[in-house]
Amino acid sequence: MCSSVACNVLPSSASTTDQGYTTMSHLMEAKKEDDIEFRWGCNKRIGGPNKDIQFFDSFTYDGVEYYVYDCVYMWRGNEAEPDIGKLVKMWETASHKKRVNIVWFFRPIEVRNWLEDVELLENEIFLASGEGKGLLNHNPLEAICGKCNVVCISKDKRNPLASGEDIRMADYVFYRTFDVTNCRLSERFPDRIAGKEVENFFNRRKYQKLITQTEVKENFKERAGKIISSSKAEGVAAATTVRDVDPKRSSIPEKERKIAVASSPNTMIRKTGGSIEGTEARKISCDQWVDRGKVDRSEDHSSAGVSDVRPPKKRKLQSSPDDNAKFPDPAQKLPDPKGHLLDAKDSVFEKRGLPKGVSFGETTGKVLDKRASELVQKKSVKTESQIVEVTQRPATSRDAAEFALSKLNKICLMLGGVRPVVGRKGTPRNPGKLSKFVGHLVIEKNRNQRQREEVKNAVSTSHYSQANTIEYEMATEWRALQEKSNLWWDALNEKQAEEIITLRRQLKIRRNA
Amino acid sequence: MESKDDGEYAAFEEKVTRTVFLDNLSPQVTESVLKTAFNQFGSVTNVQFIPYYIEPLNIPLAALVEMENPKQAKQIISEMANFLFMMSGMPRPVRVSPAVVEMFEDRPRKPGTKIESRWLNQNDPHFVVAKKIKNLTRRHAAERSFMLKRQLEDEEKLANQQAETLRVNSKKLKLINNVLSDGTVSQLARRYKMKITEP
Repeated sequence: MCSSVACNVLPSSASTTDQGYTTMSHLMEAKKEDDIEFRWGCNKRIGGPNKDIQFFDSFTYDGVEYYVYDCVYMWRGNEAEPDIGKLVKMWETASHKKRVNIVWFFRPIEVRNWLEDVELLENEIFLASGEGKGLLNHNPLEAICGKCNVVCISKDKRNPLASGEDIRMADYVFYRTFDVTNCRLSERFPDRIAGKEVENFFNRRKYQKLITQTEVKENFKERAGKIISSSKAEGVAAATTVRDVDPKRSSIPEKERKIAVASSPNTMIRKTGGSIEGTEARKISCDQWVDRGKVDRSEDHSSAGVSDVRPPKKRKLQSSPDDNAKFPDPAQKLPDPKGHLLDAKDSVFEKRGLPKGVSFGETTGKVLDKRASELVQKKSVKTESQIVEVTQRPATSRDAAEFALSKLNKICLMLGGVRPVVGRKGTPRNPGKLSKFVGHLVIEKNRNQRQREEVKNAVSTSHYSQANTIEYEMATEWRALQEKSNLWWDALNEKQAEEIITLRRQLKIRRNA
Repeated sequence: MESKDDGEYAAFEEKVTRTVFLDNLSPQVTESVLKTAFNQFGSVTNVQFIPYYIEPLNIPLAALVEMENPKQAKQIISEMANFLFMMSGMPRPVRVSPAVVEMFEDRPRKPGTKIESRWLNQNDPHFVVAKKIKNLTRRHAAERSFMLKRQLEDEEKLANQQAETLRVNSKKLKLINNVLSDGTVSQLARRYKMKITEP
């Protein structure tokens, strides 16, 4: 429905002065909706069959300026993780609905069914290509929940090489495409993706991050930003980098914000968090998904852990400076990639060779240690030339865990030839102690001083129960229950062991055959 | 090297025989509580709580208490099996049993054994069976977690029932105390011309 020529050329806006640019957007403010700050950027052209659609090259949404070909996080329904995509078009319909066109990136986990033994980088994603379902979508603009820093590390000649610093700062990297037509992974980039020149999907030319404080006089907002334009012609989009420094947010390093996004508020399956500190920090950092209409971002939020409710589309990550203060510096906490994944291992893997085991098998643990480090080593050897220290951030450890898990699920790691390893996401452990314990009773109030004294003493010391007390009677009931539970666990253990042994026999027979 | 491993493992096995496994422990029980309690029966050399990895449920704690010698451990186990021992609360008694090798997270490798690991690919002849075992393991895990849930429910039921009994009993006790303290008893005694002897 929308013309495809619309989006490519940007120089007109790039050459616009800041002043002109703001006045223009100032005029647009009338259209502001909700409580969320929104402004269209440079108005480009009018199109559509009835000439009632306006296309734009940029917009400001909740203090962040988005340009065409920026990568963004998108919330889709109740998904646990935000999707990642590239903005390729943005427009406003006649009924003032704001829409964006997004070309998607795939996480490896999303397309794992089609990945044979593919070596993956820690934070690798794949660009969609081809034609068909999954390539791109129209989305309401409000589904955007933040910018995502994606760097292309393809060696394709058309791709301007990214610097080591860029790669280190990246939330995700990609160098392969996933063709949605035939579900294939490829390192080749087609000339056009979704009707746009592929150059638009590579890194921007002369990629620079300049933050210059330019005071812009505006009613309620002070923005520092600079538009850098490169005069590379050839119809290639001018490289445009806009850094938007919102005064409220400036106290939060962008990186941290992103980490918080990437680690995503998923309570039910908290995977990483090798060290308790790590977990806590994550809990603190990703906790606040608050309706932004209601809460002033610069205020100190109550950091009430992670809300169980999955954030719906219109919500957005809120980090308060206070929360971030507690967030440990990722680089310092996690000195090397290897140790990092191993940390994650603790909570990710679970030994289930034989379900009878009460605790974790030491041997299994060690093998996994070794394996996990091998995994990482293999990867880093392969990619060393391209990537430096990609695994150093907490955000990626989640992916590392995800990766190890999917590998464990897809193929089998056998121990001693008969015990396949089963991986599972770790469960968050409650660090706080319970005050109440099922089966320990307290007499609420007793006016008799002498007796209360006795009860107090009885509770605070360990003792054998005396046969002439009510305590003894009740304790006997407990003992009976304990014995019963022993019986049923024994029965279950026996049955399960039998089932496992039967299956294992098949394994041995096959081996002998 | 071999003999060093042997020695290490023998020392570990000896440690196992000196150790008592405890569960049904209240979260209020700490290392020092355990030490104080068990020093009554011998001397404690080490205490180690067993973390519970699998379920997010709040279940009772379990711990390993290492005594000075196997005799003390044995003594404790037989006594506590026959009598009901309370720790940091009542009336739910702790449960004891001899420790076994698998309970120790830091156990050394058994000499002469070596665990090999290898990845099975989809086209490996064992892959199908391995997959089946994995599924079975998952099912087993589900069964266990269901069983555990049922057990916790049973425990809660018993606890509630006992709490009720206790409440009723303490109410009766209070009633009797009141009757004694507010003079009702002496009035009745006078009325029926009986004598009260102070207890």
